[in-house]
Amino acid sequence: MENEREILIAFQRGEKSAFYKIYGEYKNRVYSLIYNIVRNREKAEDIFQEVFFNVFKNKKKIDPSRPFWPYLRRICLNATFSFLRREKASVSIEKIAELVYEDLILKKLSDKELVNLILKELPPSQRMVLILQKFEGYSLKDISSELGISVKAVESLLSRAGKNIIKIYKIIEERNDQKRNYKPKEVEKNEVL
Amino acid sequence: MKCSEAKELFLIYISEEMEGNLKREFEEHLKECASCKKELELLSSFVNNIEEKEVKVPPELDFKTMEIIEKQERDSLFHQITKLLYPVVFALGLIIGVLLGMGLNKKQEDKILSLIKENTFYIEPYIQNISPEEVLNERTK
Repeated sequence: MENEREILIAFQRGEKSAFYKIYGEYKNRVYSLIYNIVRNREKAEDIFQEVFFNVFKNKKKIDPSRPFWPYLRRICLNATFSFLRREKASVSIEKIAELVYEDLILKKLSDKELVNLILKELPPSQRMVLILQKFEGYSLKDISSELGISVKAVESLLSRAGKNIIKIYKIIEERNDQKRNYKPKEVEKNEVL
Repeated sequence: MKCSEAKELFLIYISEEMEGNLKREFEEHLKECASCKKELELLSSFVNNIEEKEVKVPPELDFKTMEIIEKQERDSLFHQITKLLYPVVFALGLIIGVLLGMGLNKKQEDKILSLIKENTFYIEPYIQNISPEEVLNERTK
């Protein structure tokens, strides 16, 4: 954004047009980041509104001499992380695997579609760590400082994510084997007669 | 390294955040364990296939967000005005209270004065410290 510093100063002075410029510049980036983590439109919309509400409410906390995106991204991640923390994981990995398998059979998903479906069903905080590594290029240390948790906690999330993904693939494989080996019971002639 | 330990480290290894002895031990385990190697490959391909979805803010979300911002602005303006008005309201209250108090005092004073006037017959001797008998004598003269 051109003259970002001036726009941020104007925003802090209370100029509404400056806020519209900031909103227009960053809205899609913010929405994409949130959506890719939560993978649910309604939840992404709720968090998105919370982010811009916080930006507007705490405009005095912005440092116009620094790039705005890292500040905004931090607000975004904090809002997303606390939203996801409030949500309790209620579905077991076995159940998730069954749901994924049903979709796989019904919709004939490609490998990529299957990956993204599994990702969508993973526990949210595990998904968040994977997304931050992959798309924001975050190291374990970066994630730990952005989310305010220890590096050990980030490692543990990654390790659980890995185990869960493998477990889901194994269950899918088992179901596929069962399907391949399934033979309908032959009806004996006597039974019919 | 045991399989259970290696499984904990798959995604950390894929993110290239492992180093030193731990990395060496992990890689040695992979050379010996075909099952762990297979699982690592599976996870590696999983991570490569994660797709970033490019999504745009729907217009109705723009509208909803702006509504929230405007409400916040209105609330904060109202809050600022009431904050400014607090001392004024307090001072006004104080003045009204004093005036009311003074008005009441005046009324009370008038009432007492009129009572005194009406009852001079009883009050005056009392004030002058004259006994009731003396008063009666005086009156009967």
